[in-house]
Amino acid sequence: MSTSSNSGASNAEVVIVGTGVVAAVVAEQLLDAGLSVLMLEAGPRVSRAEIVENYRNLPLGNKGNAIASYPSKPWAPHPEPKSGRPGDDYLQVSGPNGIGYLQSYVRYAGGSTWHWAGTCWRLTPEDMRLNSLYGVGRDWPFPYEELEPYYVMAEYKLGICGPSDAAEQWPQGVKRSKPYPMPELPFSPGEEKFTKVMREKLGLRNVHVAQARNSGMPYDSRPACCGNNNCVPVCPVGAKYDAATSLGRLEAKGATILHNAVVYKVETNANNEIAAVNYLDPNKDSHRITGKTFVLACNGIETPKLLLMSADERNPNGLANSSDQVGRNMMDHPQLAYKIKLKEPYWTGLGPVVNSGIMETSQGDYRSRHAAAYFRFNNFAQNRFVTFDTLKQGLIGRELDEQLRHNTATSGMIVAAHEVLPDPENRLTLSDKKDWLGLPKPAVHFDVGEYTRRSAREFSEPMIQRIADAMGVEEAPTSPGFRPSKHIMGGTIMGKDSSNAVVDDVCRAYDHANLFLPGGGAMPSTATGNSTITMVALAFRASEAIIRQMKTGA
Amino acid sequence: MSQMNPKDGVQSQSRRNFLRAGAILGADSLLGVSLPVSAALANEPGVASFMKLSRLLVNHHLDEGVGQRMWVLLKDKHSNLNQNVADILKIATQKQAKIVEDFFADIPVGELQDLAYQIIFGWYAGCLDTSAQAESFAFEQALTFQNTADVITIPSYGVSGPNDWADRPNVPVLPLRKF
Repeated sequence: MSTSSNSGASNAEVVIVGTGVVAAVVAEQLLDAGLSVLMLEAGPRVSRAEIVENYRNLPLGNKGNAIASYPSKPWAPHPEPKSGRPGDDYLQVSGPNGIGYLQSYVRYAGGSTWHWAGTCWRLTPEDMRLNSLYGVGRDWPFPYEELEPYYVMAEYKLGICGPSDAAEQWPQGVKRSKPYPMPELPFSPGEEKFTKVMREKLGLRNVHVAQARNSGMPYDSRPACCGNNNCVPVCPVGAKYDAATSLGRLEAKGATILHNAVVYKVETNANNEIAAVNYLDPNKDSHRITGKTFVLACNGIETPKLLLMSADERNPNGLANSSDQVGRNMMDHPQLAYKIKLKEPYWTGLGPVVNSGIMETSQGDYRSRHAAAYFRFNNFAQNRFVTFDTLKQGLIGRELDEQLRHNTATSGMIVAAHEVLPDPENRLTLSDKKDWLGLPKPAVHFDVGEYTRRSAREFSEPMIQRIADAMGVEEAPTSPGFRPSKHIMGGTIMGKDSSNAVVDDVCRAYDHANLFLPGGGAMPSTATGNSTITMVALAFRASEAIIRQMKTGA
Repeated sequence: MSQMNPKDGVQSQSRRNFLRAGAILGADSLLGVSLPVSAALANEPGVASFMKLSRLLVNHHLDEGVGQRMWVLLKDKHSNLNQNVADILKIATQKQAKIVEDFFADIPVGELQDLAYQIIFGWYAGCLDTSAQAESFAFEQALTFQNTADVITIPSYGVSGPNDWADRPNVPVLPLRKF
């Protein structure tokens, strides 16, 4: 693959910064509507084979590091803690739970869906009305019923498999307008056992994850999942949706995609509309791209960073920031992960790495007091987590094989993923530290807040202990504390009131009529399930608004 | 691949059964592709001795290409590697050892035992230490993965076919896989 920015193009009707899932979905909708599209990617464009080989060549001690297969380029660093690479200290974190916001995202063409698990939980109607129902957080500016058709579009675009049995679907008891395009994926032996134990001992329902992965059949010119158990960090066959799988199709439809093109400034004109974006190439030469409409969809951290970097005379606090909310309300699903040592085998490691979850715990009136949480039993093969400790025991021969096999079969991880509330003090700012291009590094101050801490104390930690007891553990599990789920939300928050929100209900910036900021940054509430499907639903909704605005001026 | 008609389904099922039968027939052998063997290293006397010792320390089929790569790294760490290998082999010979249990207890604590443990570590882990910077010389051939390959996936390698892991039993830890 080329390492240059294959430049030459300088304008399009719609300029999209980013090539991840949101950018790719918006681009395809606009191309299908007959609009010209130019996309800019900060990082390189690489083949799947290269990433798979990167993974396979990692030492065992680094195979659990989801970002290690994606070495960042000097000009497009992404967080790579303790790596000695360009992204080593790229994301500066601080605050009571700073380490809980040490995100992992990929600045490569195709974005972070390269290394996502593919999990696609929809929000519930209640998740979108936290303030009305429970007196906390923010409401969405529109109800679930308005989002539902866009969820269906997302499910068919990404190829999301899920159960046809309504009792197994999430949200439960909420009508779907269309079935999933593919059936659910089978459980591993360990997941089967976990599901049975939860039902029989705790009365909890562990349900199949709706996931962007081809189940039992090819879909979207991608093959069926064959259970490679490597969704994170990379699906070796492309059975899992990632945006990289769609880039060739976008180009065939006429899109221009520039890679190694680091957008560093968004320009406004006298009407305070967006006039152009400027990018640096790896030679540090600057280029200018003009257009009629602009979409920033380059990650929940990079998008607010770019808006703040683009401050000008008309917008001294950064673009789209008259509300002073750009970069505030940074959210995620803070998770508590517990390694467990079981008395009996619960073999994990057949099928996708995240394949089920207990979602019903995430709803209830308790949300007026503390955050919701959902629980899951991960399905990663355990070899890489148990080998070193087993080898350190000094065993040999048959005894070693038996102990290693025992530890692999009886080890696992259970996780509690929490919601957080939008808090303006959880804030992304521009660090005074600079990256290789001389651009400011992002800095995030993060505190999960008492609402989420109380959830851990009163709800999720006791529930984890009950789950562990029911499974049969050798000892009570412990967690190192809140860690990120890598679901970046809130930095360009949506709302009805332009004085405390960045974008309106179609992800259009209040301050700039031709600027759209779809994606996780717009989400006013997090709930507990992974954010991508909602980001994609918002991408479809924004696409309709862009087409309407460009074709009719409405 | 497109949607299959019923006839195609029958053919596909037959082929799948055939492949599954093949997998069962080959279950005792090493899964995955062997690493290339260097002709130059194959003639290196130290490598032959190292492989001979490895086959006594580890009771499994061992890949020559993996062994060569491990030997090169060990040589950088142990200036006395060939002599130490010879010394351990001598103990094994004296004990008329066929498997590791026959002679490991006779390897003296210290340099020789440390080396023996490191060789075992290397075959199981595919690297010589636990660090994130360690050089990897094996992945799917690393014995920790081979040890459970009859039950779970070696990550990034498919187990069989679409959704073909459905309804597999949650088997006991034993018996051990032969490989």
